[in-house]
Amino acid sequence: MFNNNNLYDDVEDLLLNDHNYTVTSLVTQIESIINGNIQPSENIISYLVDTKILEDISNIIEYEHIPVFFGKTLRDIKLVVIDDNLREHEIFVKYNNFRKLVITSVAMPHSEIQDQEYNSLQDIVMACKMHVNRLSAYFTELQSIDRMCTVMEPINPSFKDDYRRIRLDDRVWLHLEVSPEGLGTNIYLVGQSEKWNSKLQAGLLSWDHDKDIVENISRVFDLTSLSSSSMNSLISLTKESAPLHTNVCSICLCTEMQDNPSVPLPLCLNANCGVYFHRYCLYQWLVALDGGRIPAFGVASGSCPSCFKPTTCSEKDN
Amino acid sequence: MAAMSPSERRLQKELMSLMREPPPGVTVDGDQASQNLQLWTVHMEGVPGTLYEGEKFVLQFKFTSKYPFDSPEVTFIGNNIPVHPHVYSNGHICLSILTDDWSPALSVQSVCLSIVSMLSSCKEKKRPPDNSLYVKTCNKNPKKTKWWYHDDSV
Repeated sequence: MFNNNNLYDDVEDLLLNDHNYTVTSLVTQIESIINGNIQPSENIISYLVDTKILEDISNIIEYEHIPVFFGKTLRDIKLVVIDDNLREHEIFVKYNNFRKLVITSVAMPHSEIQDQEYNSLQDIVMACKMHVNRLSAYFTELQSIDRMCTVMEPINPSFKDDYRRIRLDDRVWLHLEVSPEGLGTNIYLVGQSEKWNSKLQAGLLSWDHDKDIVENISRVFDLTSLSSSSMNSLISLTKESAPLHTNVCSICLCTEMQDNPSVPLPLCLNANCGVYFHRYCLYQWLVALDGGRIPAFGVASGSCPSCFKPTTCSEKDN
Repeated sequence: MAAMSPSERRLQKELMSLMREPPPGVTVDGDQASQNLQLWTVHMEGVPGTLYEGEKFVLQFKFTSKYPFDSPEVTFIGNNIPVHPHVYSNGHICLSILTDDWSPALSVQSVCLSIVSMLSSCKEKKRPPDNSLYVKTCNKNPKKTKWWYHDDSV
């Protein structure tokens, strides 16, 4: 908007050359320099976006009541589309050029709506509204899985991920994918267990697609405890303390530690061990093994609590 | 509720998984244990096809606040103490993982399984050879006993 270099030069010239100014005359002169450097306002629009897009934005705010947000530049636009079930969907749009808009990101499985160019935001809103309402069953199923089950993966489940891995017990998860129509597909167990597997095999034959997925799962695996609402206090306690990872420390049986931001890692030197420990827990144990003596150089050694092979553990993370 | 200590958290988790998925023939008295996390009572049935088939035993687990760095104190209690070469008539058990070979990666469940397998592999029901002397002279806490683990076969 300003030609900054010119402005500076002009003011500098003024200050260097004219030493007989009064404050008033100086201010007047600077003012005139600034005014002379501001360019006509049409240039502002053409530099950033075209007027068509500004109209477009004001239309969808005014008539569609769709909130519009801008990202790092005015060309990065976020729209929030609300579907028939009042779920909010964020649509990220990039304004590439006049009448050339693309959807860069939506929290939905990939679809054709992301592969085309649009003339206007209005067109994008139309396409997205139709699309989200087509996917209605898909969203509903995922929402109810996320609400009712302990989802181990994805770590931050969203509508973008069409799969869920649900905890059945400490060693076994159920993998399933949700089709755009909201049906469970590609269902299998992660981890081995005869008990769960025989239930699954029997259950797949009687899977009832007219019922929702959570209902099917809890019937197939006779889980009442799958539902967080019916869990007793003991179970909800662990649910809260062992949220998203399976790699619990085998000493404290937790992932997170109080007062100590540490993640369980396979710390044993024996490559075949692979059992996860918090550094703090393993260190404490090796020190205790040695009669509680604080080891030299902060490195404790002894036998691994799990594989019993010799190992070491330093007090501090390197 | 006050914040749980690491030892309480771990016991809570173990209790929950033992109640949900107990090993065959093992049941924990969940109500009692949740009232006092440091004292558990575990019921154990003799495995069918072994010398202890049809028998019922009761195990007591006592934990200190240092658990799992400190091993649990495990004894048979009640009227029926199994007759076994490693089990004294006062309920004390001679089992290395309960003292020298304890590791924090072990758990109530793995201790129960060890005891079940110790009983199941027994060929002849008899008391340890030094039973009467030991029972007269031992400390109440079996962890105070200096055990000699001489026999790996049973």
